Amino acid sequence: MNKTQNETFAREMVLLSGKAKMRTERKFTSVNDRLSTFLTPHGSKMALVQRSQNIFQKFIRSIPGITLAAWVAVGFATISTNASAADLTDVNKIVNKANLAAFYSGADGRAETRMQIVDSQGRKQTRQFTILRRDYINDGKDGGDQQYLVLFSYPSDIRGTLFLVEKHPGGDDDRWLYLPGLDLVKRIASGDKRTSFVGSDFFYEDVSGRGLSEDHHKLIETTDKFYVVLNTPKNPSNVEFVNYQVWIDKKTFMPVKTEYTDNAGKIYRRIEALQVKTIQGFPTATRMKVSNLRTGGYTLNEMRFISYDLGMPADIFSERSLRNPPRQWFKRPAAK
Amino acid sequence: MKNLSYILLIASLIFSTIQLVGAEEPALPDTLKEVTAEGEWADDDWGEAPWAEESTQQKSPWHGFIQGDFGQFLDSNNPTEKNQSLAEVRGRLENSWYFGDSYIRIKADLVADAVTENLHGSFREAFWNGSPTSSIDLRIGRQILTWGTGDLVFLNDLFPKDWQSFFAGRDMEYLKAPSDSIRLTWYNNRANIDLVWTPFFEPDIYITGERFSYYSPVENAIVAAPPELAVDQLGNDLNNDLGNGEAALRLYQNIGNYEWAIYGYRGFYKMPEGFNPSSGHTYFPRMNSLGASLRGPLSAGIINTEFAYHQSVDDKNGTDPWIPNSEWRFLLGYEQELMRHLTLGVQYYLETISDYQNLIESSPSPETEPSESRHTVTLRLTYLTMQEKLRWSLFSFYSPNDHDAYVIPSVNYRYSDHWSFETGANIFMGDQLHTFLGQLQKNDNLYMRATYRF
Repeated sequence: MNKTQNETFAREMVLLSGKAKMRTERKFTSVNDRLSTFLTPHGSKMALVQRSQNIFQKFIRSIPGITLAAWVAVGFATISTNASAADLTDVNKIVNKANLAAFYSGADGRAETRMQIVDSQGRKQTRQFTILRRDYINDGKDGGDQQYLVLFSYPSDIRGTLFLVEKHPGGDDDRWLYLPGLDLVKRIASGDKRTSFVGSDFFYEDVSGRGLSEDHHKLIETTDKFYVVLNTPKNPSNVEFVNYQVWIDKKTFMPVKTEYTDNAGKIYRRIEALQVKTIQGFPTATRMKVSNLRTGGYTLNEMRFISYDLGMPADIFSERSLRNPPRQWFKRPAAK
Repeated sequence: MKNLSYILLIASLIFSTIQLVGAEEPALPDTLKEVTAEGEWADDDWGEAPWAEESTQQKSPWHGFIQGDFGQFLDSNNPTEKNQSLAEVRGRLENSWYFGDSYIRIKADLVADAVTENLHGSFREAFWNGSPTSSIDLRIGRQILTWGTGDLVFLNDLFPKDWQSFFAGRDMEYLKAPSDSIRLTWYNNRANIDLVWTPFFEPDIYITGERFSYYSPVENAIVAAPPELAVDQLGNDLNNDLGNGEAALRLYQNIGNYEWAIYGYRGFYKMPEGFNPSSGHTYFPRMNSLGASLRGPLSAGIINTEFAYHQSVDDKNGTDPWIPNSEWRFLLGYEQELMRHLTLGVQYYLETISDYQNLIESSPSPETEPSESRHTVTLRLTYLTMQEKLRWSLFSFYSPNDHDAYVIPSVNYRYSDHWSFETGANIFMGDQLHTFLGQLQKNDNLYMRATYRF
């Protein structure tokens, strides 16, 4: 049954049911509320996002005077295309939710992070830092601009170094580096976001997210656990990959595995979320691994002492904080 | 109706469970277990970075490094006493103590120096930092101060620099010498205000002939110690010589993603550029400065521009040949990542002497006076390899009209979280002896350094 047929069927059902529009719409809302609660068992911002963006709701609302019977018809139609009724089919919605789940939990967040960088000969380096992140909520769109402040604490040669980012998805980020030994606030060319983050196998883009508008997205498979999305860059000359495939957990929308393919058709880079914990209702990748399959090197990334929605003010993401890191926010919160 | 929707959900679940699973499908991450130390995630495996140790915790342990530096002059005709530009072992200890929002920070160095043949300890930083109000930060004590937009070119940054360290190839942080100052910063929506008062004048650490040779206009030759350059120091008695301090001001703010700043300075030339013909000594003439800068993104890079006017207070019309004339300075710079791991920075820097005609007419040796305008082009290339553990760097200054240059190639290898090694060279070139860089041309040196950090 195609969309036109669905709509015709729906209209017929409307005529048959003859119920008042207002009343039925209210019912749909309650059904959809339950549906989104099912998708995200934790009462969170994500549930709100899903509520407002639910594909069924939007589809139904686009049809005047529709009834619940029509929704049932649509539901069966979806099932008949061999996917779950709860599944999303719009790839843009899927990648948008995945982006929000991976990089936009809460209005702000704090985490202590350490990376172990292992080269092809097994030699190890460590980086330890605390990240503060704040979303611009007032711009009216989640998934929009963000602020990051990163304070390095180990090893000792980068201890006290700070990194400040104003992230503009789809545009160039503004980045500053503070070198305490010289009291120098250095502005960094945003340039290539696909370069190593502090010498690790993570790229800047892996840490703060890749603009959704930079790739074409294609839902290539929906399994019982995952949406499998193939992403092809709109501007291939800007990146080192031909495409990358992401496995997105259907329940949490967490990107669980990402594999990058080069122009020889080989997978050469893999990012995995090896542990996801739910923190304040937000699924959070607390252990991640990036593997460089060409060299055999890899980087482990572990986050602890994570908290969201701390109420960070915008002005702590400023030059002032580079010289005087705001202890109130960097300090590890007391154990609950 | 409610039941119907449940049926739908159950049906959809059944449909999805019986669907075939792709071969490459990942295992769902472990969402159930608490974080426990296991395998390569175990705490022991992360070396010396246990979670408990955080810079932001109340008590922070001592950190620092031990560093060995060795530098050899390449020109056997260099008149310096020693053939080494560097031969030292340096120990550093640093710590911070927090009292609510304020803190005290100490960074102390102990250096055994075979070039100057002494052992000396000094505080690199020793200050108290606090916020008397929510919008004011105050830092009192010995501190490193930097502002301005230039890359190794300073127009409005008139805080002390250690040129001896820079020319010898010590770690880059030693280019900035500390000041005993009070810094007050007031943050507000219109323009943040930085005010730095340095009660006792802090000159640059300049070339005296002890470690490096220089051009002497008196002897019209490149000379070195002994004797050291004779410099009359400023009186530094707070009761009598309060006016011998320095005051520096900066107003700054962002407009969109561009940063603007206005700078002011009242103090002295940072190097002994004045000459007293009766005593034969050099000294620090008075100097005031005013300037501005702008920095922000352009294309895929960062552009910066800055200007400054250095007013020679005691020789405003430029007729005194023993005191430098006032000067305009202008800078335009651009930095961009050329390709992955390779960054290019270029700068054009102009110094123009005011009332140049007066200088030439009054000068006893007009032929060795600097040219009216000195044009300088700088180039920085940085290339990172081996997971950024190996850093190749080239910085060069070149003046097309003075025909002199300074090239600094270096390679830094970060062997581990503790050990790093660097080697490089400082190469000076010049057609003439009296130009800014030409006077250093016998000081070419090769240096190497090993650092253990803890």
